[in-house]
Amino acid sequence: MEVRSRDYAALARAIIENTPDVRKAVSGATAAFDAARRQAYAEIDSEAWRRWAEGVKNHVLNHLDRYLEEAETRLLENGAKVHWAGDAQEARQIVAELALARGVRSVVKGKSMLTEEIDLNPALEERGVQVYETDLGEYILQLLDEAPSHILGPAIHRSLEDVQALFADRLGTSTDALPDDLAAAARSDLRSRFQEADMGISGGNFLVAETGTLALIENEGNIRLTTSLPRIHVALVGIEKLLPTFGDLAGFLQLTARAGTGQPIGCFVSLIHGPAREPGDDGPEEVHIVLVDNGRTNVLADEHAWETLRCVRCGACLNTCPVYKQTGGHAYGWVYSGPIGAVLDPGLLGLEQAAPLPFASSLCGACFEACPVRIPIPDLLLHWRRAAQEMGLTPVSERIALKAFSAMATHPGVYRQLGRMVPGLAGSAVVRRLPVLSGWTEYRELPEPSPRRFRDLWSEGIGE
Amino acid sequence: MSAARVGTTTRDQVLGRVRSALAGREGLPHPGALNTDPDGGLDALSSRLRQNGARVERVESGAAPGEWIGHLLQRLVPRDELTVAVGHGVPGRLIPPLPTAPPDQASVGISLAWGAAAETGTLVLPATEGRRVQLLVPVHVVWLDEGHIHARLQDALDSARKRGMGAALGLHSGPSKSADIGRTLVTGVHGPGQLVVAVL
Repeated sequence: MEVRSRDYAALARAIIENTPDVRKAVSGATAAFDAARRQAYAEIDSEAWRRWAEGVKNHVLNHLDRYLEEAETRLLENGAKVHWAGDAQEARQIVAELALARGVRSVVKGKSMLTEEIDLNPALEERGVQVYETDLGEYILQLLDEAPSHILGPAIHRSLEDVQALFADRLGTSTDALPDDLAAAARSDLRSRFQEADMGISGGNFLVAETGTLALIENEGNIRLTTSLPRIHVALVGIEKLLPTFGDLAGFLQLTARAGTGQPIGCFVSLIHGPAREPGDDGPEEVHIVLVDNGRTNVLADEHAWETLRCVRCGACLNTCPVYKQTGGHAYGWVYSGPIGAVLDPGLLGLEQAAPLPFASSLCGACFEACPVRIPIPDLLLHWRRAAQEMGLTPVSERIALKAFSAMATHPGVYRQLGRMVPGLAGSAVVRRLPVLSGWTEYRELPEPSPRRFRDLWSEGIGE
Repeated sequence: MSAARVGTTTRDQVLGRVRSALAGREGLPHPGALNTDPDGGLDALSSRLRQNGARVERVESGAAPGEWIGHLLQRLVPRDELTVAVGHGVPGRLIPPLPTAPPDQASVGISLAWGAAAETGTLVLPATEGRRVQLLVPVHVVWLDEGHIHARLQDALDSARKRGMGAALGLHSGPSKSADIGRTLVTGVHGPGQLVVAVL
């Protein structure tokens, strides 16, 4: 999809001002996801699970060349074909050529953020191939011609009323149809697409190097159908999605579900090894795995940002983020939004393309506490902020503010003097108009200062 | 093809970039197995499956399983709509005496699980059963031998691996569901809207 992350501030403002319902819908949905996640974490020793998952992902990423080769070997043994794509253009080309060479006229798709990242659908449609999104949320968005707003709930920014109006127009349901009836209408529209499609396209949650197992997690069953009914299955998998051993799978399937939706596991998990072997399998004749780099090796080379590659795309950090829930995903201007997008997009796209995103955070740290693989998102936000400042990519006012703070903090006398002045001024119209603070307060709440200074509390002994 | 011979394929470029990114990094060790000790057995499995939205029924002692499931299905599905599609691995004694239909027309699909995990309420289904029977029907009945219940999911997966995982495995832990429309839970979106686990 087109990258608009540089316009974050304007996009966010437009969403908040013009479509206030989005904030309401996203806040409600993410609060429910987050509450379910907290409860699901409380049922297990989540700290031990998260540390284990962090360790497994660190291991696989630090031996990624070896595990990629092992996965390739196993997949070939299992009868699957393996393709490598250096960038989005190559990935699109591989899938388009597969489709054209095999006379594919229509494709059903399971939800895949990677296919959004590489803009796959338009590349197929330009070549005369019909593409049908089959995840209910993605189906709604395809009818609306909109991008996903959330990793797990792509249409969470849309209300029941929105969908009622849309389906009444496109599927002929009544304008007050209940969710069950709306889902039934979508199911009936899509069932024939599944039966007729020549190719099913999916992403991949995990690829186990030891066994060549592609794992896909879902709740609807559309991914199982997408990977089972058409004669060709193509899975696009980021090179960071590997797991070392089959014994790692159960832990990751469970932790990802607990983090994302609070479930013990997704209702359906597909573990795919290759094409159907026996007539009764009902499986595809061909299975193609496309391993996609598209900037991931750049991220891997960054001595800090490589940790973002542990991400399992559960959405837990979005659900707990006070900034994300104001706007949903569209404000971030690209496919990966919220806290993980703010640290992943600069790495995948280049910081020039995504410079405002690391600043779209209050650094509250909730994202780290939620992350099932313990990605240090707050540290990485600061990492990218520093880099943006060094590259001159921050707003002028932000740069002056940071320089002023730096000068003040390193000159204790000035700091003490200002500290005595601020309680009387903070929050006042005067302070908000100060050139240094206005850049800072434009998108931030200036906290109410304590009536007593930290330095005074410290010298008296805090908490006494 | 000449590119392949001189080693400048995309594959080699990607692997080359990975190696150069990792140059000088310490090789972090694998942390070993995740140790969990969940409750096992039929009670734990049933409890989890019911939480996931599935129905769990145990064959009455002395009853013929095929007849028994036939009677159960007559209570779940209107009699004039009741047709069954049967997976390839289901033995004759587990098949109800009901009219059959292809999976895309039947109201009930009948499968035989390789095993189950109490930890997550998960049934392990091989592709050799026929995937359409597991996916296209509104009601999915899965036969499960109580002796094949594992406490841990990983143990259930390892057991399937020993049998040869084949082209694909399906892990089913509840009915098809979605909350994509107005955050209201809807079942039976694409896959079966009812999962009935019949325990032998």
